[in-house]
Amino acid sequence: MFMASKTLIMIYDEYKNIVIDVSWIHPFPIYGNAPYTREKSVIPELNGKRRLQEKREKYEAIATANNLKFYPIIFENTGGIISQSYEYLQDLLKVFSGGYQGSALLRQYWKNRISCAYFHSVASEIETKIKYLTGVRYVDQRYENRASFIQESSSIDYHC
Amino acid sequence: MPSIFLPLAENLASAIRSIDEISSFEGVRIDLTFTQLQEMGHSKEESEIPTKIGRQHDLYTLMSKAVLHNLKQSVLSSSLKKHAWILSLELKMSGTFLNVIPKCPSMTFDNTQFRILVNLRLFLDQPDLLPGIRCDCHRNPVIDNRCHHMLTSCSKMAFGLRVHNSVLNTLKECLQSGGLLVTREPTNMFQNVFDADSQFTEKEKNMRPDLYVHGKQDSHYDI
Repeated sequence: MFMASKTLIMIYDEYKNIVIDVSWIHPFPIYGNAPYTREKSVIPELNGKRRLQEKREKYEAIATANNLKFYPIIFENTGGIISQSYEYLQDLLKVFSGGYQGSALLRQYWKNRISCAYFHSVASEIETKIKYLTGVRYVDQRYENRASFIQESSSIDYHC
Repeated sequence: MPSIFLPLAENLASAIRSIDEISSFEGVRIDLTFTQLQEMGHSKEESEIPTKIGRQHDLYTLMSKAVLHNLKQSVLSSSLKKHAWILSLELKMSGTFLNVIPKCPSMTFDNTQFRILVNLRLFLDQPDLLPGIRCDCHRNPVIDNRCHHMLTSCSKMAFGLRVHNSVLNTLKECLQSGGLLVTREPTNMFQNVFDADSQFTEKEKNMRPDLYVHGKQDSHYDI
């Protein structure tokens, strides 16, 4: 009789059942009527910690009830990660253990990749949006406005 | 305030005096001795990356701490938001894009993108933006010159979602390359609440976290 093969997957407890939520926040409010005081401006990670608390209130109780660990990863819009989330990220990156200098370079590589992914998308989105709003994208997309068309059309000898 | 022009160190004593001058700030007086200078560079920081170890790094850290303190004090008196921005720039990973290696395509930027990012980092106006232009999102606000509106509250063209997804995908890729089993935005994650008379609503039970790490896949055994 044919028996279908079954695959056993061994799972380490250390990284088991973790839920992650990634979020961004601006270091200071840009709209709204609430006064932004000197006391608020000198507290580092003020908005980041507030967002961290919001995420914990939202997810932590239900995650714990489901035997899950909750890791909120909060970035500020400067690309910086708040200290508590950085510890969570370090915890996750411990998965790269062993190798050259305890895989410190590999962990650094992935931190760089995550950071660059953020900055890449921010830069390209701002670029696209500015082009869209100032009409550059529309102008670029018109065939008659392209440099290649202008060059080709100017080389045609209409007199022959 | 330290002098604007760095003096040319003719001998070791004048070099140390110059470092003392730059490193001292309000309430903190640095008076380096030759012995202290010799002992520098042996303390190993939390980072194991070789470039962050050594006397040169220790001296740089000593001086940059004072320069940053002076900068923050001068900014605090002029703009509170700029001060908050500088504090945020001090967070980890905020400046890694400036000196990443290796220079693979995912870690390099073209000229326009780099200019946008540097202006953003330095709290400067975006040069390509026409002043006074209004955004086409639902409130039609005038876009601020630094384009912070796009980073925070503009939902048009799914700006925030795209940024969020690109980082999330990279994080997922990272964890998967470490051998972890990861699922993006899983459904029914919070349905198995063991407490029968739990206080959680259906809405809470249907929440979807960004990533779910099942665990580390060690090895497969075929039976």
